[in-house]
Amino acid sequence: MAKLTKEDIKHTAELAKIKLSESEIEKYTKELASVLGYVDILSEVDTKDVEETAQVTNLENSLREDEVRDSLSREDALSNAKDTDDGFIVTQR
Amino acid sequence: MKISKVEELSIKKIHEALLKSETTSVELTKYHLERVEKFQKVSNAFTTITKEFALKQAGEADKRIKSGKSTLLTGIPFSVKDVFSTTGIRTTAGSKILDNYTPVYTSTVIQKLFDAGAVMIAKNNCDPFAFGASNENSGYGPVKNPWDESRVPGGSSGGSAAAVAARVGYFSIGSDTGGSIRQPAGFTGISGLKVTYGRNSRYGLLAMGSSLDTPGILAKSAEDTSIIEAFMAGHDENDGTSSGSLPEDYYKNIEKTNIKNLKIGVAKEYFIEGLDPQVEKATKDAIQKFKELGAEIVEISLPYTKYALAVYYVIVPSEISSNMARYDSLRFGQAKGEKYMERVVESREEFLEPEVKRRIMLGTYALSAGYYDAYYKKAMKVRTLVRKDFEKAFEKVDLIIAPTSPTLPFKLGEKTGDPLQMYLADVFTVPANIAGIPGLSFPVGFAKPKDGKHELPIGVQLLGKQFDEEKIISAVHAYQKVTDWHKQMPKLEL
Repeated sequence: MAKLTKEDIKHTAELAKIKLSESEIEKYTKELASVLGYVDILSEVDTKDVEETAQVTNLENSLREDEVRDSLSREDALSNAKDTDDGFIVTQR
Repeated sequence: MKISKVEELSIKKIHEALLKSETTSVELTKYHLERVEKFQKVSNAFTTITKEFALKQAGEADKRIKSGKSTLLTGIPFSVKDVFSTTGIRTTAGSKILDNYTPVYTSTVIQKLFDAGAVMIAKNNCDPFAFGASNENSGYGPVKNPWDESRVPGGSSGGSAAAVAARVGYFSIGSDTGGSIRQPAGFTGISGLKVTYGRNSRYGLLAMGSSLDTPGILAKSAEDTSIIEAFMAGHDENDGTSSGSLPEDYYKNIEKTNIKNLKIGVAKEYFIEGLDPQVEKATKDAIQKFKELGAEIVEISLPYTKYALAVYYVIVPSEISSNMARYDSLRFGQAKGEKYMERVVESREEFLEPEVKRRIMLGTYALSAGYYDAYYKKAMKVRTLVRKDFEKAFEKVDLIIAPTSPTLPFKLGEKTGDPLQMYLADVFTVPANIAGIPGLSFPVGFAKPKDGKHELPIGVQLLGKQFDEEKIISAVHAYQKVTDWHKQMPKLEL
């Protein structure tokens, strides 16, 4: 695997929408490189013709009937938002 | 409180005491609320103490008991790991970003326990969003192991484990995604049940790794876990991964399994070089005890065990990075900053704990363009191989026995400087989550560490096939009938 750089971490932080400080960028570059180094062990496993496991339930299409039911009231849905206005959650542009 | 040492009673016995009016739920709840306050000072095991809520529930429970309509759990105080949503009661997930969050719905498994009449006395401190193996990552401070305050109780359900070990409340509901019930149960000398993935609904459990998260139970014995699980289990329309299979009454069937007919597998891959010799000895003693009870011990091999932790630390951070995207400060949670995108990135920076950021970053990287195949897709394939290991093993044996943790409970601060060292603590517990199989950790002995003065608990786990909790519970129950490790308690003045 390519070595993890500070640029990689900066890019990842942008994708993850977290504004990291310089010292955090340094710290996470080191720490993530260490963990990625460890998980590299997976590359030695022969997985030719092995299917992926996405979930372990063997269930498919767990859907309910398409009928109208009660859901969350608007009041409840907005109850944890800091700023609301006329049924909307407000943020500054 | 007329009943002496009432906190030591089993659920069955406390239920009988309530039915016979030897105590009332209100009296019992007040008693345990006092214990919560005192224990909080030495352990930091709780994030929110739900005094008024509990007393109201207790009053209703007493009415129900008088009317003859009570269940085994009616009137019994318990605590809930703070990753479970509770309507009208602050739910922090152990993270500062939800310090001001009040859910408008209740987690299905918790609601079922409320419906059965159980009384919630507190929300437990835990690693944030269940990310951790020591309860040191919490935004609310670490939890201390009641057996030795300089040590960790394990994690992420550290607060739950500490409370049960200290006999504060009669059980706690936790979650196990990589060992977060079993490992702290092992570190605190109690019984921790992780059921089959899908057996207990995840609705209302703040999501961590959605394909592994499993609500479960921490209690004083396998018997107690069987009573509680009977109420929690079952299909839930609100959880698309919830199993349709009907739950068993594990408690009614607890004496059904004959140990003499059981084959218990011992996998050599668990007896590796990082395993503490005292943990190894206690595990071997437990195996010997099962042999004496009549079980047949069979050597098996789980060759992909050594890759399981790597599979876990690719898949889980990946799922985490997706699940954590909802904490954007807009609809709920703490906020910092004004303009929209500034607010999102600053709030996440300000209020998410370091371990939370770490795992989000790991997962985002592993799923990003150019890396998805090498990391995530590869891990999903090796996950299949880990599952197949267990499927093959369960053709030969009914249960698998293994140490829960490679070490004794470690000291606070010992592993916090090196995230990878902390991750290695999960090495024996993650395989069960990867495969979606059940496991129960139970105490099998004590040992004094080289760097400590106090005897510390050692836990061993029994793993079983999917939906075969009954065999696991029955086997541990049989062990607990002839041993008394599970009756040991830390010395506390509460």
